[in-house]
Amino acid sequence: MIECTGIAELLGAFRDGELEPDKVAIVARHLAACTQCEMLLSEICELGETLRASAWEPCLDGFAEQVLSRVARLPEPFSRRLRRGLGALGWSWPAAITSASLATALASWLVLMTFGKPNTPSITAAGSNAVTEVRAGESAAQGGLAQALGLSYPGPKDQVVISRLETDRHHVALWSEPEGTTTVIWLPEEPEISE
Amino acid sequence: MSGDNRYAADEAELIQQAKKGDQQAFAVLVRHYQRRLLGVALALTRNPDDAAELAQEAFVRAYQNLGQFEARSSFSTWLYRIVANLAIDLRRRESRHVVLRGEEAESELRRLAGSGDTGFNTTFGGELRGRLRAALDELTPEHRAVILLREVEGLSYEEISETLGCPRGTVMSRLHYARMRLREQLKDFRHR
Repeated sequence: MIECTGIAELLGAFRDGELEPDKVAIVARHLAACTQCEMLLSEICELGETLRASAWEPCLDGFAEQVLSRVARLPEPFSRRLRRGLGALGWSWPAAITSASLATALASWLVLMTFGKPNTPSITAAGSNAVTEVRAGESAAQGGLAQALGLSYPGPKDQVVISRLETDRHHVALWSEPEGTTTVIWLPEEPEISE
Repeated sequence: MSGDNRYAADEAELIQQAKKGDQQAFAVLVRHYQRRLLGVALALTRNPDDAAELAQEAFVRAYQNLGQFEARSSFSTWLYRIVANLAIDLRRRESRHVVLRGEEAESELRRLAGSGDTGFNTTFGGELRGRLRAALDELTPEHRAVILLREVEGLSYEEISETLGCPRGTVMSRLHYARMRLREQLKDFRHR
């Protein structure tokens, strides 16, 4: 038979129902034959009852209200604001991530097409009323795209004013020199706003 | 289905709603757990005022960090763990010595002598209560917390282990030690 010291260490867990089944059997057999350990078990139970009987019952008056009042004053986290915004648009997280990825890819492509190549076209902003040189291989369509996007990129090295056209007509003129690689664009000046 | 079972079935849904910012759903969780969280806080601090403050703070932090709750443990154990961490911080702060002089010191002495409120029912047998309080004071905070969480709050060994962040075997040995110490301290009273 296991000595009382070994059993005493298991009595608390035995009483709490936290002992492994094989040990439960050992303790139960020991208790059946040992009055000393049986008395110790009874004292452990009594101690538990005493602690519970003397324990303070927490006062709950207004507790939940205080907690909820504090919670209501908390700033809403960014993730929740974002989720709410997406929800209002009827988007789910995967749809939002896919859309954001597509938008990023499109923006990257546009930036690369506009500025990324070594022979970047230099186009003066609309309204400069100047004729500028566009390097070889660039089409007017690309220049138009940059203009449509409002991109003004007058690089000091690439941009050369060839001539200035004097005209009252508001349209874009374009020449290509057959023997060279130069394209010439004329951009009309913005009409002045009289105050 | 009993009320408790119905609540358990709804708890996951309430947590999901609260994660999305639904404060009404969180209010249901608070009302369900307030008694138990206050009890655990009291077992850890033995001061009703501190317990109320810690439990309140624990609920607020739980709401702020609900996104991190992944249901690997039960929601109750997660709450207990938050309040246990707050109790550890409080104990660290209080372990620093505070020097009081003059009228302030006298006032504090009067307050300490008069309060005697350590979370124990004052209507329960005066002498036994006093002995029990003194016996609990003799224990280390770790041993005291373990026995109060088990005997008063009825937490399982696993829950105590997760709440206090220690192995189950440690819970078992601390519990045995605390029981034997209290039994020893209350021996004279019991044999009257």
